[in-house]
Amino acid sequence: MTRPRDPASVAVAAALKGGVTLALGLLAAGLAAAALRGQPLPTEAVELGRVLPLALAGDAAGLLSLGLLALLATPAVRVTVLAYQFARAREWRMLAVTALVLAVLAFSLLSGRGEA
Amino acid sequence: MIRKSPPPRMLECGMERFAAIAFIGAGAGLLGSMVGLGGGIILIPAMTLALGVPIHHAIAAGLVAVIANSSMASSGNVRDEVTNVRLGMALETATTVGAVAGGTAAAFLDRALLSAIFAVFLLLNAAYLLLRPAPPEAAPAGGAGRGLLDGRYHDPSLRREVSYRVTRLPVGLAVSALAGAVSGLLGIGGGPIKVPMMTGVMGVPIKAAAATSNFMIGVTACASAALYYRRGMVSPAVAVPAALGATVGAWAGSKLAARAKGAHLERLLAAILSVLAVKMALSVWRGA
Repeated sequence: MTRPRDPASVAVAAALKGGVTLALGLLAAGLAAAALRGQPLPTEAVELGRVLPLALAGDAAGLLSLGLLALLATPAVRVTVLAYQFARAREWRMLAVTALVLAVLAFSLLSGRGEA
Repeated sequence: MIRKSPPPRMLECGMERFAAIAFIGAGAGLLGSMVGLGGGIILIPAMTLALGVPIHHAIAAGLVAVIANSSMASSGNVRDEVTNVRLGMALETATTVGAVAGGTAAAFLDRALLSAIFAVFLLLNAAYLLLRPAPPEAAPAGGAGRGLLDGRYHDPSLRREVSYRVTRLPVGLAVSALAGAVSGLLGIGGGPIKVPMMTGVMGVPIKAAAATSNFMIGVTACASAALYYRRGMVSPAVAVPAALGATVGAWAGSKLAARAKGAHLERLLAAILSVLAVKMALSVWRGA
């Protein structure tokens, strides 16, 4: 079949592949940093606000937390990419559906403070 | 009941423990992907029972592994347009709400109750593996639909384009919410709920249903994984080796699946799930 590929599908596939590749790279860098310094892996992920500065400083916990966050964010990024594609194609009903999913994901991220 | 924080020693990770978690993750990913259940359903109880990982942290690690596997596997299916992206997005409105509800509920359940629920779910999955009907060889002749969510894809094994009409969306949304709640509560993908629902109720061919379910799993897991991260339950010492191992195992499983005898594998996995269910139930009974 030589039917032209749907641009939305191509963009989503690229977002998924790119997100996983980035996440695995960061996790590998974090593991290497921990091994080089002879540190055990951290038992707790770094708080959101401290992740980037620690990762940029080459800290193992920061790199591993950033890698995990990149992995967790990959599905959210692909939803955002789809929203953009639906907006471009003027598929307003699908854009509304996608925006609803993004709203639930945002609620989850912002309401996750618990009783741990 | 409010969950108590786990003893830190149970999360510590030296080289041996890293290898043990990665090994369990690889085995779970291999077996799970070969029979289409995903790795989390073996990974979580195995880490809890064999290594003493607290179940809330094992569930969080399972969600991370689920996202890695779903994102990797979905990339190819989306590119080849086997995945019905629009149907997946529509059902995700329900799975994400269910996942947030399940993930929130999990924080208020103590380890024993969560383990007991997991044991029951393991037994249900073992029964599903033994009793599920074989998927049809050919896609149904559903006819080309023109609805917003109807789909079509090229099936190389049939050497033709398969078109189908999506039906009974309200039922699909209700069942998807349930699948999302189970995913958020127990850290697994929910494929055994969504795939039969899409094929049996919504008229989606098995290949498109499996690909669309896998596509949805990542976003569903993302919704509850964020809750677990904010609560400090995503432990790099557990989640990183589990995700890496499960990803490698799932990749190997996808390569081996075509050569393996499906019926034997399903019986093996059903036996493993039953043993894990009994062990989890016993651990609850003994107060471990």
